[in-house]
Amino acid sequence: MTSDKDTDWIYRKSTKKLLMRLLLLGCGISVLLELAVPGRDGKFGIDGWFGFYAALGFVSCTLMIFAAKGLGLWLKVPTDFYEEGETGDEDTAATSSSTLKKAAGKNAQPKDHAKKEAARRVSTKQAAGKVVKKGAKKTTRKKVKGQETRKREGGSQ
Amino acid sequence: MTIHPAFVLIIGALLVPLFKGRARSLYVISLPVLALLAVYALPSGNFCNLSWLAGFGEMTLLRSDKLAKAFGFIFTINATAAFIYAFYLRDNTQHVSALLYIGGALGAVFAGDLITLYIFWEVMAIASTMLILARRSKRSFGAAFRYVLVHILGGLFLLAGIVITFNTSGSIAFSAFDPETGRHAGTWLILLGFLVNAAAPPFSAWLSDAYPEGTITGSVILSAYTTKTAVYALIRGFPGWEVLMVVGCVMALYGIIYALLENDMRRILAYSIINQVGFMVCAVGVGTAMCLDGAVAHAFCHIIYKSLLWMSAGAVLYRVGMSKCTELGGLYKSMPWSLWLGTVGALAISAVPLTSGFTSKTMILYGAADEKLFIPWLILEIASAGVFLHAGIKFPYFVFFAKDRGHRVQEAPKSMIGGMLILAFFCIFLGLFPGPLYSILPHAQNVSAFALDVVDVDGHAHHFTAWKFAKVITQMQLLLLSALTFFVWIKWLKRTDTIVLDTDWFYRRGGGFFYRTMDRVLNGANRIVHATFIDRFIGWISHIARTAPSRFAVTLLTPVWRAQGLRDKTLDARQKAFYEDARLGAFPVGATAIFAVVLLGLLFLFSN
Repeated sequence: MTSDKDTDWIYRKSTKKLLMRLLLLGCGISVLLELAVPGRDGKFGIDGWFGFYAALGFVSCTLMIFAAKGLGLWLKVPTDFYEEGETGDEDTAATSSSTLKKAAGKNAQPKDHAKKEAARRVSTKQAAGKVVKKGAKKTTRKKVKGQETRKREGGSQ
Repeated sequence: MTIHPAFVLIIGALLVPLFKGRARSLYVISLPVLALLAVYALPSGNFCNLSWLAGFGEMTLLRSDKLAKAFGFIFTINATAAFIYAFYLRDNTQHVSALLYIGGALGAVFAGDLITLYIFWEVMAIASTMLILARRSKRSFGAAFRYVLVHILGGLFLLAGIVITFNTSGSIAFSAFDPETGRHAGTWLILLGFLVNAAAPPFSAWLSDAYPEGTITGSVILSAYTTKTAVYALIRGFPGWEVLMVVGCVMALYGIIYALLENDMRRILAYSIINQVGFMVCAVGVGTAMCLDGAVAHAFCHIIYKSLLWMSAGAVLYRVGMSKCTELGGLYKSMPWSLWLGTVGALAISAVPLTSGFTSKTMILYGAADEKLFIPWLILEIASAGVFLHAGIKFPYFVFFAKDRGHRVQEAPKSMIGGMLILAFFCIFLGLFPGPLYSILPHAQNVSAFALDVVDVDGHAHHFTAWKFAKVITQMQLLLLSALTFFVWIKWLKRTDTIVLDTDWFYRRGGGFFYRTMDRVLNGANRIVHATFIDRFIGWISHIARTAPSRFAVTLLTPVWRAQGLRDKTLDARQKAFYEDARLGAFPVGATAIFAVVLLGLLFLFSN
């Protein structure tokens, strides 16, 4: 714990204690003020009880926080959960169409296959010394390969 | 002359590319102002009747009454503030799509029959998809794709429902479907179509998937129109349908739970939309005049404070470039205007007294309590407390306070602050003097500055006063204690860099699974059949066809040869020679001729 004077006013421990006390005071006042409204009848009986709304607020919010926590244990996943198997291409116009095909929920396999093919061809090209147009070639070849795979799968019907 | 407000925006949208720079920004601000004036000037009644589709009766393009005008007002006011906020934007696509989208919403709200409604419904779906695509990022392409698929599905439900309803009732009139007698496949499908747009679970995943992926200004505009048009359609078509009470209560709680779990600040706001629309849907389910007016008032105020919250989040995104709570914090010094104006929105959504939420949302609760509907009332009260938890406190706390991550940025641009100021002004103004809001409600009479009478269909008037001491006290109790729970349990609310699985898991994972299964099953079957029939069977048949006649002939001739005394090797050689001749076609002509005559004779004999 560094000295309180170093950190901003709002992050100091003393400020946090003060704000918490103010909040508790506000809660207390709001409950006590109910005494100033004698004979407040609820529409359902139960909501006419003293401090009903305070209790409702606290209990229901606590329950919701813990219900959310419990549900979160089951449903929380990493932010890139749906992006497994993405090719990791940048946002370029050239890749946007292949991205749309991907987003169409298409079979990941022909795309992986296409990627591997493209990568293999790229590496042989590299070996041959033609590195320059690799990026564009890879993209167009992927697109062409994707179209070929689609044709292959579509044509057998 | 009556001008359809929607066409002001739709035709205006087509002229946007003619302007450049600041002139364009001023032009797009002027369009919703003109539309607002057009709404104001509309007299009540049905206009622009067209007999366009043969056999379906007359379409009413413009039906103006208090309900439609209320929505018309808020749509145009919100659009003005949103375009002021978007003054810095120099993107044609966004401006045109936004104008078409808002124009579609106005068209749907003023539609007098189901077909007109459907046409504008689809215009909205397409324009809003373009608005999401305008961000031009990989994630937004995927989100827009899923968004348009879900909306096409909803549109198909709606269309199927309209056609069946027309077949059943013979008219395309868009008015309230009776909850007792009007229930058939057509109306259920129409209801389903409306609920998809209203983001009712399980069809709600599109909202939290697509809205955060929109642009900064695009999402501000998106947050207001699709869901509220659906709410309008529900108010118009399905008042009193009890299933909506269930749906609304589920939505209200669902939105809170998911918002508590989410990390991205705009996803929190997206789930918050579901939560608030749940209030409106539940109110429509109750169906009394008080609740319906409460739904309209709530929709009015909700659009204002929700846009304000999205604007505040957008301003942070604009300056910091990040939207995750795990990456934000400590912005209270750098962006005080965004903080305070956003806080006004956060207080308004929580229905803190002095804000518009208090004077509008409480009508719904009052109406539900009047009808002695304990469970819905209780759930909505709990949801009111929960709203403060996730939107009123969590959102500003994690974005502007929490942990200081060292972001030192400028305050938002003046135009953004201008847009936020306008909306914050309305939040406070309508919280202090709700009279003008009450005066545009459909069933309102004897409207004063703080109170109104809501008149039922049977003429019974219910009085509602916005400001009552007891009401203020109980509301403050509810809110302050829920604030307390936030800070008491703060350790359990720590943000993690995660998302929460929603019902879209089924089609995002399920879609790929379905595709792979179908691929393996169908293409595999295709391959097997190909191999069996085409490769093997056909080959076998052709082999048979080639060799069968010679085999047959050999079978016939072998006894003859045996009779001639040929045996074993010589017999084999004779057979082989015969096959060879058959293959080469080297028979003497005479033998073939005799064979043909014999065959024809047999045929002749057997045919008689």
